[in-house]
Amino acid sequence: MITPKIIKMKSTKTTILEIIGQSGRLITALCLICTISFSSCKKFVTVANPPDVLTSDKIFVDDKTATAAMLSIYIDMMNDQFGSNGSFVCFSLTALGGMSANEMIWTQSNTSAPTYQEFTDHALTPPNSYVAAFWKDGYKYIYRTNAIINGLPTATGMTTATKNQLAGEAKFMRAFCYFYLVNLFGDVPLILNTNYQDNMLVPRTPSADVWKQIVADLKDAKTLLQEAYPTTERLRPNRWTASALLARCYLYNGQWADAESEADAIIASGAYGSALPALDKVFKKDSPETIWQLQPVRSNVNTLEGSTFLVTGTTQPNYQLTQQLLDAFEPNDNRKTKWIGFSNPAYPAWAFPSKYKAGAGAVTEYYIVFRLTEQYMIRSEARARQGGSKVQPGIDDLNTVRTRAGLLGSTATDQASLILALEKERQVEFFAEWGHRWLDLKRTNRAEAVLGPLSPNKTWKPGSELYPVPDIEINNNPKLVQNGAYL
Amino acid sequence: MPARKEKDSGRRLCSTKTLLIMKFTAILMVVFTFAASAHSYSQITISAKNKSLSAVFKSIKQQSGYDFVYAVELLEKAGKITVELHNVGLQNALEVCLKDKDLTYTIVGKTVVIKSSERIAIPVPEPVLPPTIDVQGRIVSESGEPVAGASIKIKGTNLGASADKNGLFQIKGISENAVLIVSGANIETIEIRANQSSLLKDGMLTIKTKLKVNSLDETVVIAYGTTTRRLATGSISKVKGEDIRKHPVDNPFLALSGKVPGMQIAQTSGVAGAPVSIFVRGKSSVGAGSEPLYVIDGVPFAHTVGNATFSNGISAQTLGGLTNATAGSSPFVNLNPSDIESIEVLKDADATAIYGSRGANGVILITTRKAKAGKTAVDLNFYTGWGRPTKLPQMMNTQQYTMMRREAFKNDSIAPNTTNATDLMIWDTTRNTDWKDILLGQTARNYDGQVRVSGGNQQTQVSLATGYHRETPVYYGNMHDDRINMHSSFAHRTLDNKFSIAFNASYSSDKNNLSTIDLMQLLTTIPNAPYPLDVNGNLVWSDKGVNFSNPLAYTKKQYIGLTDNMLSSLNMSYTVAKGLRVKLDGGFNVVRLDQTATNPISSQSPTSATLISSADFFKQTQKNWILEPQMDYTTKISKGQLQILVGGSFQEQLSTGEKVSASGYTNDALLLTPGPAATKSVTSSYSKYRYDAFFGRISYNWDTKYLINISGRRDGSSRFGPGKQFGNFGAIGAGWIFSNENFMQSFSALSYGKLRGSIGVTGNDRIGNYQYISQWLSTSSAVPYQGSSGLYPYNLDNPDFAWERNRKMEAGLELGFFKDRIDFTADYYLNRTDNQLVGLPLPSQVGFTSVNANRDAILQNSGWEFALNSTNIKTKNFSWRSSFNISIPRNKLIAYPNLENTAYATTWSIGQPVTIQKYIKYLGVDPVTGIYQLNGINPAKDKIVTRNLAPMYYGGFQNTLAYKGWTLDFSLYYIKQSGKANFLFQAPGTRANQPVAVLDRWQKPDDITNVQRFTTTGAAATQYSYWANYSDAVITNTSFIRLKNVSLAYQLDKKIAQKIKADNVRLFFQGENLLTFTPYKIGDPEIMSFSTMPPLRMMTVGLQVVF
Repeated sequence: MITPKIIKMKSTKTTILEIIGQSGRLITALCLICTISFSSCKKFVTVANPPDVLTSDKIFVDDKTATAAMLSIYIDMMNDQFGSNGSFVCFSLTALGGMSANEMIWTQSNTSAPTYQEFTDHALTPPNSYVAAFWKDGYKYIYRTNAIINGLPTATGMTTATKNQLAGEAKFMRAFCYFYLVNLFGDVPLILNTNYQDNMLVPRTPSADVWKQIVADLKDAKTLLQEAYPTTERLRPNRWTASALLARCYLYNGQWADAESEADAIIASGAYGSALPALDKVFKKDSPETIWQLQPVRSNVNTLEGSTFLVTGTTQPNYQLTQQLLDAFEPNDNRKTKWIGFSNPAYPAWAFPSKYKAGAGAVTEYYIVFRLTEQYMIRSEARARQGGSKVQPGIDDLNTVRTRAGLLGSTATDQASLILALEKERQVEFFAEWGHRWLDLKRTNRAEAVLGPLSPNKTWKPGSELYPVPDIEINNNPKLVQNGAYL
Repeated sequence: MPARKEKDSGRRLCSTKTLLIMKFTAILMVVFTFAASAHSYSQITISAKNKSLSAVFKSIKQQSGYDFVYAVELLEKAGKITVELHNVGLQNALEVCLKDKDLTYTIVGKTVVIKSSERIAIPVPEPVLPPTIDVQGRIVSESGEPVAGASIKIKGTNLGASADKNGLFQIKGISENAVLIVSGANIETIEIRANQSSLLKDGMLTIKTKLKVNSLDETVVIAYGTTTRRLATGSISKVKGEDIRKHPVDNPFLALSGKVPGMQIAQTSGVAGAPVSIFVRGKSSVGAGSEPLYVIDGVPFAHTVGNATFSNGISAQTLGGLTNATAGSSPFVNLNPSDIESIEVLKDADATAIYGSRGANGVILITTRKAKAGKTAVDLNFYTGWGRPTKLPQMMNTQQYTMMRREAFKNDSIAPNTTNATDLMIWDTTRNTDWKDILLGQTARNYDGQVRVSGGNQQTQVSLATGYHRETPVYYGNMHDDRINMHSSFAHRTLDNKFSIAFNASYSSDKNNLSTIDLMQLLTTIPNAPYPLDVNGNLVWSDKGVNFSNPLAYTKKQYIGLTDNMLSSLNMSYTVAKGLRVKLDGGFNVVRLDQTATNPISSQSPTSATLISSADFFKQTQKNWILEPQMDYTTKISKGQLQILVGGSFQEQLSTGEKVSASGYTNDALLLTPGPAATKSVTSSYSKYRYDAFFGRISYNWDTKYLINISGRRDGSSRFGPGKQFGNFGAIGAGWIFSNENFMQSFSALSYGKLRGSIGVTGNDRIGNYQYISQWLSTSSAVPYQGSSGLYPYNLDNPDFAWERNRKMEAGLELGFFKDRIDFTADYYLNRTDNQLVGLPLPSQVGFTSVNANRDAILQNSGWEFALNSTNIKTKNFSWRSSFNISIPRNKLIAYPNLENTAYATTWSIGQPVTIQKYIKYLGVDPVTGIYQLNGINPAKDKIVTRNLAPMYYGGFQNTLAYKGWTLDFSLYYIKQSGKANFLFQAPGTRANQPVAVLDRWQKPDDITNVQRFTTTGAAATQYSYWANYSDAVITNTSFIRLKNVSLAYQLDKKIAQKIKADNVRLFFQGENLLTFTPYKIGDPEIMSFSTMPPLRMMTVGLQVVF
């Protein structure tokens, strides 16, 4: 009755086999399709480089492109806002170094106020964002100089003259960055190439070795750079720029004779005039004493010093000069009237730096990095430190600077009094300028004696001369060790 | 046959069995349902020797669940039979049994009707009581649409019929007192008397039924297809559009918090359009993005762009744009909640592996509403609401403030003077301004209106919708966020059903002019500052020579953010042969962002040396297209249903943008375009992302008992360098519906039970484009340097990085009790991510702060998820349903070679969660000095207290109560967590206002308190910085339970509604963030910040009318 055909049903086994068989065929077919279209798939997901990007192999191919790599450092240092990434020591050292050296205070109440306050109090904390920016921006530009220094030797299609100029500029800028890092932080990792795997765990290099590298780079730069500026105006370093920093480095390291001869060479060259220009000409863009300056690149703004410090009207300055600084000026010092502004007669303490006079508007002032006056002061101090017959020429150098300020000759008569006179002269000549006072007090080991008593509630601690290594750096490189005052 | 099968599936339990269970659970059962598809592929085995047909049929009934209807004498006449059958289908069995008999059979629904073959036209003779009637009827849904395939049964008999596709049925010769039981897979069972005249209309008995919500058999959207919860092998959660619409929110994801187990949603700000941070099963990646993949109607939503990685929320800002009060805006504000049909969250490997390299962080499928066949429906919906922040800090008044300042100077032994204390020495110390009232004093409003028209017939359906949404903030001034949106869907299929085409398009345009900053940040403005406006209404900038940073300056600055979003998709499918279908899905999506932020001179202090008007303009266009050819094949093999899918995917995302920074306008009125500016600098961006893939999936469903699903994908991404572009991903998922096993049939309380599990590999390519090449970009200064631009290295390139791999394992148990009135799901998952694609943090000494690289680190996310849904009460007039879920995530670092030399050295340890943070131990306020005491100040060495900031558990609890026309919904969200309170405030005593809570400060030796002494500078101020940045004192319990939503709706009586010719009129009240219970007293526990707007407590009323 029952046909065998019906009884004989497909068993589970065959069903599974069938599934496998079916899917197997499908997979085979799929694989075949895949293989055929694989090359086109690969092509599909291979996209061209974006049009706004050059890859690293396209940089050192001609003079113009390679020069652009160098220019990016100057541009970014001038373009970035203070406090955000990139300005490095431009303005920020003037303001923050000025606060550390008790030259100025921040008067406004905003979220940055506590961060500024830490500088004034010599009570920096490792998360201080401004300290972090010094470290980060310094190394950002060091990477670029390393990329240029390492990229140039293999460059094709470039003229030797440009190669030398760029190599010199890059070495100078590397020294420039390390100079400030080593001064602000003490030992810092010495990084000379662009390989992150080599560099990510480098510990802090003893500062003596960093200084050695700085001097070596500057000597190289002096050979590579020409006396003439590579372009019109003094917007890119020449040989004398390297000399100017080298003279300063020798001074900082107590190599008095070297410092003297390096500064002397610059002054004697006559490239920067035979006499110092009048006070109101010093910070103009065509000032003859300028050795190197940077061009403002932000729209409608001159230097950050001009646009940030200047006060119009009668309000309290945001960055207010301290009474200690005002008191340091001798009577009749024209710098106090020409380079300082007072906003409100009712409050004589409301003083602000006004070396630069232009804030907004078209660019009429450049940002001066090195000027001849510093070389006079370096030569003076180098001579003073060598003592003996060099003291009198040292006093003469000092008087060159004092005369320009409308002052009589210094009362210093011997080595010791000259050295103290120079400390004071540098304070009033270089106030609100590149943190000179802060670095000077540190290098002469006078910081604790001068600044300690001024710090509120005695917050100065031994070791406060150095800024803390930013905590994010220690976090990201466990080989870094914090400075003593912050342990 | 497939059509037949489809019709039959869904109701397979025999009625006697149902009745038994009904008796068993009589108290609970108000409705009884036919469990769906339980025996779709029942196979019959009979071994009968000389048995009566009725005995054989009884055996078949037991095995198949089919009822038999016949006249007894007909079977007696047919005599006895002998059969031997093994595992044959029902029809086969019947054919064999009735062979050589003068009998024939018809299968009507789940009933087999046996008739004499000579008298086919004559219905089954009724042996029952006279008088008899004939009943003709129609089964319709509440909205009047026909319900196809319902089964009609005469109570107490085996007689019955089933409705055809138009809902029509006919039963002849039944007792006029007979009671009809109408049931079906998708309707709630009802009983009515056959002679109920009130239902008679033109001789037709019109039976209205309620569509049944059996969540097990609802369609669930998955990758490249659909399934049901019952048949799914993966972990999928679904949220219905109607549940989203109970929340008066602009971003649909805000409505999801607490609704989806394993999905953690946090609002980043209470301002309209703010980004929402979304994690599915935790953060699986150390360095790459942990955002899920969003797919809208099959088209991946292009929100990943450029070099942005998304660690915390997606926002316009991460696309490179300008910021407003919300630090960017979420692209999902352009997704109109009322256009959403459902959102499915795919979590495990089985569900996500087919998305290959992008599935690691979970996949969120958003399906928009489609047109339905039937009467043209017009749906009008309007609501408006009022809101205030959940919690704002209470700030000091002038008296308290000046007292604090004086005490601080005294503590510091500093004399206040006209330099350090202008607020005390120069300004009036008697005037008082409550900045909270001025800045944040308004009532937030929202308005929403939507119109939707849809209709069509079996072949063609069309719907069109448009709407408008507006929100205003609590801020001072006239600000708003407006959105218009349109949505259309069109679907057509040929008469033979072989070819179908569907097109969906939506367009939305959002305009946001909220301020450029969150005004919460300005709450620290001191209370004795001058009033911000002078008598002429101009901003005041200084008082007696002291600068005043006027908080109302922002009212002069404009922010305009325009976002246009066009989404479209086209789906075509053609059935080539039986079971074989080819499909082509295509999608195109454009997002345009156009932002303007101005900084006019009128918003700047006139004492500033650099008074320049400036404006920034940011424009970005993202175009995204996708083409996905697919082929699927469905067949029945033995008792199983086999589905095979193969397909390919080709996709491109192109993003171009430019930012113009313009300055030097001659007049503030010209600021809205860059043209009139004296100088402009332009930066541009360009980024192309291409992606292709082959994928396949095989799923097999054996007898609705054993389910297996295998999927695989090979895909290539342009984000990786040559040789690293392609990767293989795949998963296997399996399910066992054990409740369908015979041995489970005696456990009648358990109506559904499934065990499922999956294992597989997915990937993550969430890093920016072009990261493998070394890029040098042009500098962007407004003025070139001596006429030239510079070139700078933009990234550290690494040509060798590749996919991040995420291995996922999952086990799940799903149970349904009492005819699925209670349903319970438990999931355990264990995901391990290796080959970590890391934006490896580097010390800046290398020149950059990160590089993309793969690390050998293995990160494990595991966790439990439980969900319980229950119909607690169900009577004729009253019902109460609730659902509860809890997610318990855990996270662990399994391995990290060379950890001690990485950025994570001081924070992570092997075997610990990566969500831990380390802090310096807080020792309280020194009773002698009044200064915070910490156990050290060197973070690198002294951070030894470990705190885990990840949630310990979170979840939600929803309830729906319905009484006649009233429906009340309320949902709670809860989370157990610790958080870092984000302090905006400086050390109390400095020149900034403080919350009154700091008045609890130390004042004199031996004071025991947790607030240190007031100070303006020096050691105490420094210590405050360590305390706020590094100590565990700022870690507090920020757990909370929030009454997230209450929705009360009243549906007008049909009769009243019909007076205005409406089908449905509904009035509703909705409240959002109504109550919060938390130990965190300072601010809102979800935001944990004083500088960010907390969520708003919103109350809305609305009206919906459907014609």
